[in-house]
Amino acid sequence: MRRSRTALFVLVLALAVAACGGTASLKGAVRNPPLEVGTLSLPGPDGREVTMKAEPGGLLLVYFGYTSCPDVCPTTMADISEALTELHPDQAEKVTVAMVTVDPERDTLERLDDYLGHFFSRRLPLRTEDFDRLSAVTAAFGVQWEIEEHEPGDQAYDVAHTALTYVVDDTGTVRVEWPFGFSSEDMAADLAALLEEPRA
Amino acid sequence: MKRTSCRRRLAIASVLVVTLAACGGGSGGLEVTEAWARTSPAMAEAGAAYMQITNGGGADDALVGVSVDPAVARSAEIHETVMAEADDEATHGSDMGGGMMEMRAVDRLEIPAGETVSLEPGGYHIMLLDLASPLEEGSTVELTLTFENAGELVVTAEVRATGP
Ligand SMILES: [Cu+2]
Repeated sequence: MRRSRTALFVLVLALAVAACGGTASLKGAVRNPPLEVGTLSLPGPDGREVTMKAEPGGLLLVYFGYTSCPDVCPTTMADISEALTELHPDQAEKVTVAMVTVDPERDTLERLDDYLGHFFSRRLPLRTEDFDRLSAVTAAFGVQWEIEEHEPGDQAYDVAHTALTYVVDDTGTVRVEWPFGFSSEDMAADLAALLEEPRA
Repeated sequence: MKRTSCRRRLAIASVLVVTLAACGGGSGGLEVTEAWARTSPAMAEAGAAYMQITNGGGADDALVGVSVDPAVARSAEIHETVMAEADDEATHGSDMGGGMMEMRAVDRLEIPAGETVSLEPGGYHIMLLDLASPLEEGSTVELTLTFENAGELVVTAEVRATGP
């Protein structure tokens, strides 16, 4: 049921895109016109401001989630990690995974980095306590999040969030989006297709 | 006359034994397969376990509780990941991406007669709260499932990075 809904979502977006051209062989959803996120930034490791752009010739995967999420987030992280092992090591080396926490109360940058480190060596934890800043970034991506109401000090709350993964290139363009449950095989195929694109 | 009745009683008794034996591994015709729990990052407080529950019996049943050894986690709960309703006041960001996912606790998970219910990533799961230590690949976690009719069933979940 869930799988077929995801498949339908991808199919509808894919059809919308097929009509408009773009990279024909991508398996995830491609938006037209594409989302441009290269002007957005968030605080990363060592107080560094991180722009939503991949390194030259690379890809930046951006996911919004939180470390106390035991089902959805680790499932996606494990699927991405699996996809990276399916790529040629030279290609996998060009992929960095960024996770923006939607739970800055519990997630410190160190905690987020440890969490990502369980899955990836090339990782980028991003965090701000400024909800206006975070909202500006999530709004630009089309991500929603909502922290469950809780008493101060209560550590057992849930955070609802959009569970898509965004694949951003070195110009800050979102090239493809993967819904929750997207297979690691299809992720690997999309990453390889984008990394093998002839470069201008 | 007396002997026949005695033999009949014996026959009934042996049928009962066979029926009970058939229910052995599962309880009351319930069978759990592919039980696994995901490896957890070192700092993670929560984990999740998944499995397939098949009701091979003739009567509906329901999963109504789950417990775990405190040496593994403080508690275990039946959860479901669902698409969340956005709330204008409390929801941040904008929706262009198919909505939010969230978890909710489930009191009762129906396991209809003759059907298999999947506990799988992004759907139903057994949530392990306050892990005593990280779930390491290759280890196992014992979960005690409580069914409304069949009673308790202990399952062993294999800890692995990705599902079977
Ligand atoms: Cu849960």
